[in-house]
Amino acid sequence: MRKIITYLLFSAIFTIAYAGVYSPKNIPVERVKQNYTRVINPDKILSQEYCDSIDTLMLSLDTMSVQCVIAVCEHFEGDDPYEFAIGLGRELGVGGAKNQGIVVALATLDRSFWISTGEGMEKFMTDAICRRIEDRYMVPYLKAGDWNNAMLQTAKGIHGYLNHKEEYVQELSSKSSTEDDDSGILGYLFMGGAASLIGLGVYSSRKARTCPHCGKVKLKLVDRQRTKISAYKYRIKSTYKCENCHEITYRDQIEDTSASAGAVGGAVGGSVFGGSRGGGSLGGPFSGLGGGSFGGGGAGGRF
Amino acid sequence: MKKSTIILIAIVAIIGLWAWKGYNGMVTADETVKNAWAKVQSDYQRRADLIPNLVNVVKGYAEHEKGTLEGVIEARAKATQININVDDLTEENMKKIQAAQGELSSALNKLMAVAEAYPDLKANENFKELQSQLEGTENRIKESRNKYNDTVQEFNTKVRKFPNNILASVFGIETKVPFEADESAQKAPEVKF
Repeated sequence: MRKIITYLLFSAIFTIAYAGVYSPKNIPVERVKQNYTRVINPDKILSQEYCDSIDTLMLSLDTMSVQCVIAVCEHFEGDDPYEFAIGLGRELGVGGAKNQGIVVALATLDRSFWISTGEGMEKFMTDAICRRIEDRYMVPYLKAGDWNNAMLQTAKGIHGYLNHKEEYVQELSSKSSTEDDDSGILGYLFMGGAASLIGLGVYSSRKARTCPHCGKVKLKLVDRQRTKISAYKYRIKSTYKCENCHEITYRDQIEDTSASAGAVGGAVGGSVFGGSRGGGSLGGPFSGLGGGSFGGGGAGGRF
Repeated sequence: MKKSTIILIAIVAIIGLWAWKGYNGMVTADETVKNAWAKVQSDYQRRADLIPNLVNVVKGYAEHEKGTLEGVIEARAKATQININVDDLTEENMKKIQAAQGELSSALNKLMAVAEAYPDLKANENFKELQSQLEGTENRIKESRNKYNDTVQEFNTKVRKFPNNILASVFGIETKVPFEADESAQKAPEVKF
């Protein structure tokens, strides 16, 4: 009896001592593997509302063949954020076939963080960009103990930069305002690229909203149904109503998630960061096959 | 045709197939090692390429740390002089590489330690970015060395296992030399933020 009590006591002490200490092997990742979420939050440090907002941003990166996972807990095993981030990326196979994965790791009680980039991602998000994202969007909130905003702003920074959103590209492509500005031409290039993208977006949007009956740009989406027809293919049935002639228009579209999907406007980013980016195939679900090749790129530190 | 002749031809064919498969397997493993070694060298080169910029930035703020800066330049020169093909990687050559790269690592560690004493340098945006690039490069070196060692281990196992060892000795294929565990050289410099 005494032995059992001693065993139970030691087990309890061990459990308490190691609660919240995670390694890539023991952190719960089932929901990430099943593609429900991109946020690993075992200690419930982030609120659900923020997790949802981060998820929306991170899951939308899938269309660009980029997979980004954010892990937040109290402690990393060995107090090593680098090993944790890179290990998690490999364990989950983050990045898919093109190895375009990003892992953001934060240990709140260790006060350490790391952004790790997959080998295919390094040319788009250099170590310096990772560092700037941390310095400008993450660390100020971490210092204030605002974990929710630290992760949300980081997610926004990554999402905005990869989507070539002007404010993020300009912010992250330039050194801080105290430094000499030697990027005038590059700035114009970015602005030109961004303007072209916006123009293209406006044109596509107008075309999609043009009524085939009256020719006015007055179509309004009233219903959309997405049905799975095979492992990677979906049929999207959209119903539009014209606000001008009130005619109903139906559109059928096949979405192939295994095929190339990422027209990211790579020339803009590529011209500056040494790499051009064309469309890429989606990484697909976290099968781990072919993904997870992390070569040590990224940046991190303590706060 | 005699039965014995057919059996002989069959045996020769089987041996031929085995030799073909075994040899090709070793060639594939050899190429994997070569690729891994090329990655190690490119990561070393990447680090060497960062150093002139780093030294220039530090020089602007800490000019009287001449000894440390010269130490880095000297160690870089030594490290970049050694460029060895994977086929020439003897234990002696590997020791030379590890010693030169280890020296460069410790010279860089000293430089980073010196930077701690200069708040203006630490706050400089260029320095901070070079620091993060250097840190990333050190991590890449660590990963590529580990990967090289994994491929060498796989190759050596293949070459030393029976019956591949017979083929290896016939074709003159030798085991390769891995990096030796050297904690001080392998550990990436810790950079405080």
